[in-house]
Amino acid sequence: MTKRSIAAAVAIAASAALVMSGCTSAPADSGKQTITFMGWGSDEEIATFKTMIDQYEDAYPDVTVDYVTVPAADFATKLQTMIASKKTPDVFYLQPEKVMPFADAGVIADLSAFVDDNELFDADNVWAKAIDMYRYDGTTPGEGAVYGLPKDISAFGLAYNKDMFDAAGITAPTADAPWTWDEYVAAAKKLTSGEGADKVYGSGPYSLEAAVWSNGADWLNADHTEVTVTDPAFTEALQWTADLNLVEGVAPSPEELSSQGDYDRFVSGKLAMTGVGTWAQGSLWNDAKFTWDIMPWPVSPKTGEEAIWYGGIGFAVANGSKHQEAASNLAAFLAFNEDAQRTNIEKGQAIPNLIDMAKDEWLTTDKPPANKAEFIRILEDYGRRATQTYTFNSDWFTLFNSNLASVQSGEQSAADYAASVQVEMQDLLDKGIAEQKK
Amino acid sequence: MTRTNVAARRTGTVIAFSLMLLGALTMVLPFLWMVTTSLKESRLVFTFPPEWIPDPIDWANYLEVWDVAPLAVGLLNSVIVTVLVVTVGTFSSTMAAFAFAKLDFPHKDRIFVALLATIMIPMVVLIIPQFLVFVQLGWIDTLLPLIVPGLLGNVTMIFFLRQYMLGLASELLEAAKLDGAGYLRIYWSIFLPLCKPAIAANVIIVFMATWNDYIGPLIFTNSPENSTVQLVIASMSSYYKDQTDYPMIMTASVIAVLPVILLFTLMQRYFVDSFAFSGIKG
Amino acid sequence: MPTTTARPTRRFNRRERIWGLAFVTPITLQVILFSLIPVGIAVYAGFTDWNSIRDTRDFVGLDNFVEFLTDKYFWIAAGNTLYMLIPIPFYLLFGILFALGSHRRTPGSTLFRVLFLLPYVSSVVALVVLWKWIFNYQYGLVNQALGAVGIQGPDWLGDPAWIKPTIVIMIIWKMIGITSIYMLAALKNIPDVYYEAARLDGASPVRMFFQITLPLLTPSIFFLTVVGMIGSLQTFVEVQLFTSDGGREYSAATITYYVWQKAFGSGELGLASAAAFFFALVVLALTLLQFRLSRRWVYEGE
Repeated sequence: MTKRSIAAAVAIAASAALVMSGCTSAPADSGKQTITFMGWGSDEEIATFKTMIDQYEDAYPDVTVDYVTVPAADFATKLQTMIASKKTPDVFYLQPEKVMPFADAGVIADLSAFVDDNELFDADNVWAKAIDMYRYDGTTPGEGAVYGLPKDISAFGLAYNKDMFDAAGITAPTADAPWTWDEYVAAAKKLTSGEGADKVYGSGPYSLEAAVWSNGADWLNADHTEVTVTDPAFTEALQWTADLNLVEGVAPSPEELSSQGDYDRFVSGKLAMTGVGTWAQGSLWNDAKFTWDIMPWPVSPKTGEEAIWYGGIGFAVANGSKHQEAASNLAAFLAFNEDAQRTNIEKGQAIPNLIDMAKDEWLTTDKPPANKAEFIRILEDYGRRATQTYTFNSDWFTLFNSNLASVQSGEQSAADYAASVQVEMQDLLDKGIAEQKK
Repeated sequence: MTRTNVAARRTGTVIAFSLMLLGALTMVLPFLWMVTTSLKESRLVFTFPPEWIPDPIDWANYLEVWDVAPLAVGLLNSVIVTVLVVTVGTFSSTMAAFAFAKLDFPHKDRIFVALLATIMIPMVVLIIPQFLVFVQLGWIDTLLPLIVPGLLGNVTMIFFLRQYMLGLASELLEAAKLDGAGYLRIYWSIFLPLCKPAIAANVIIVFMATWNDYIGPLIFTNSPENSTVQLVIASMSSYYKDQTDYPMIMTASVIAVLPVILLFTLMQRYFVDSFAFSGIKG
Repeated sequence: MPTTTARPTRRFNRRERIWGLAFVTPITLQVILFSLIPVGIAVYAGFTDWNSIRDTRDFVGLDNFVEFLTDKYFWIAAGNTLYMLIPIPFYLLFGILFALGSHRRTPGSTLFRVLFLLPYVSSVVALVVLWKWIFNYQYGLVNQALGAVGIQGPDWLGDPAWIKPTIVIMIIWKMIGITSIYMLAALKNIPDVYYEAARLDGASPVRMFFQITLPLLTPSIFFLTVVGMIGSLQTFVEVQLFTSDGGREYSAATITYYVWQKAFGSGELGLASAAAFFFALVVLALTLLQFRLSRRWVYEGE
């Protein structure tokens, strides 16, 4: 081949590739709509969604869904970039804490009218707490117009390795008699053994929400205008969670957790008790080679009250989406359609949004945990919405968490740490409130 | 040379060799560990003490990694971007270098200095506005932002090639002009072939920079279908924060660095020689 | 003959001019579209309150500049950025050492060359994920090796005091190879006659190094220092991949990371542009300073 024809071949190939690379999205034909849907999840969750999307496409044959997944840690940044580049996905995962800023900026569509008309939605049969997370009336979160439909509502339960419990002769507590903090520590001590890299811990990192709320404290005051982390009840709870490692030696240190996370340790039998969310059921079915179950969260000796957080993710529809109706239909389908919700149960993804399905079908499935009722108890009785989802932005919360490791590694006491961050946290909270009022 | 001198020389060589050996080991050891880890099963990496030779050697990761992450798409995208930028960009750069070195046109020096000045612009100033420019063009989440600028040439390459061409005899140009050859023909048939070694060296550099680029894909693309291989590895690493599967990540890394290492090993002579061409006095 | 040369010359000149301009058009286009115009946009944006969610773009004067100059995280990042200059003297030193070593034509130098450059040709992404594994607190090679001799290794990646050193170690390791190759080329350019003359005068190898080699290497050292400085000050990828948030207490974040976080994390494009522009000026100033100082120590010779 002469140099000339090689060059010509390269040029043709180059132009072809260039054209190909520019056309990454299929052009919409008349009659056929394509909508983008962006979310994250474990392999199991993504597979679940693919099944549910297929079901949706069967029900709505003239719509194709372009499903994009992004790692959870990158999601907020990616979404931000896409909004900035005017390529907001038609449907996307909506975190409760984003409802206020997105609604105010007009990024997400008001779905109240759509929800009222929709045949899939039966107000009595959907967990009120689930929908309320996406309500906003312009001032107070949790009330008013609906800006998102619930993907799921997740409870954060305390899982334990039943085999390890049996071997140590421990019986898990029941709902009518949860453990106190002391009883929890005593059990954890019996379950802790070994040294160094092979050490088996009785407890994982204890949920700070469970400890703080059960002790009668909170990050903010009741109307979310003041930072209250210097409250002695708060610092006492924080110190207790840190002391599980520092004093009692029953939980891993922050460095050990960064080497191998608590989920990994739990499934490899190096941790007896740790918090897991309802979203982890499917993964646990795959990864845990032992019997596991859920127990009620221990209570602080101070108040004897149970507390833990529930959370969720919703589906938002982009305001100004070219396919608003198809997008809203997808959101409603994924949120309320029975078949779609059933897939959730089968894959161990979440508690169904539909109350009757949750109480009838889900409770009676025979996959672990045996004590599913505990998750429902969290939803109905003692679960609370996370405090940082009530404010316009959670910068104050991010700041609080940014150096929590210094307390957990013993560098400073909880009281000292709270005192050192309180002013800056209040400052950030005030800034957020000012932003909201704009 | 006296006998002590010979002995001194020899010890000098021995010391030099040991030093080089030590250095080479330091460079290569982490890579060996990368390969070793990729051949282990996920749960088995959290052992103590570390195993250098996995037992058993498990090639499964190299089969599974294609399902676990969009590695195939990532590789394809990386290939498309790199090949286009390297081939077309080389022509753009060599043409410009030829013009700066051998031709005379208005404002030549001014333009050249201006081009050089742009090397000094820190990348941090460019990322945001480039992002905004691409938003306006609608190119976000496509491969175009990664390809199009590179097609138009590379200032560093132009600089080095101009330097090299300045050293080539201008009589060739004069003779060809008298023969009535067009400038395109002169560039293509005469000067381009003469620059092969310099071009080869720069091609390696541009290939490396494009294949290894992370910031561009990070900012300009979003969906997995448009990720390059570097982005795929990065997202595997952040995805696996809670369920860390180091062997899988290492497997993907090995696959990602192999092309560059192979190319480099084959062409390393040109790469090293290029430093002689670049003119040490800078 | 004289009459026929008049017209052809003019025709050649015009053709030459057209072709010359045509050949440089692609690169000029690239520079205008993707460097000059963006810089203009960045400067403009720095004086507005551009926000990616709200899509507003009002002129706010110097507000952005005040905001980041009074932001303690900006100054923490500035300190971290200066810290990233530390690798330069180290890899220059090792680079020269290894160049001297390979100058002596030891066996297997081609293989050595390839091995030395492995870190440099690999992508930063691959290196960082590898480094994260090697420096893992409990199961990484480094801490396990230290443990074998009885030292408890630190939490390299989590402890604010150790994350920067970890990044610095990686950068030094990466750059030694390319530096030594560059220095080797420079060494080869030193005429042997200088050494011959010195040897005849009875100079020791050490004396020869300091009187001949080192001074003649200063132009290369200068070049690498300037280029290295511009590169180090813009460290970003390592920070973004090692830590997802700039590290505990923002211990790893550099200015470029700060800018990226403000732009793509919180959507404050105006503020980020202002900070980027300010930083670019600082880098330019430092580079010019380097050139000024170079007259003191760089050998100018023929």
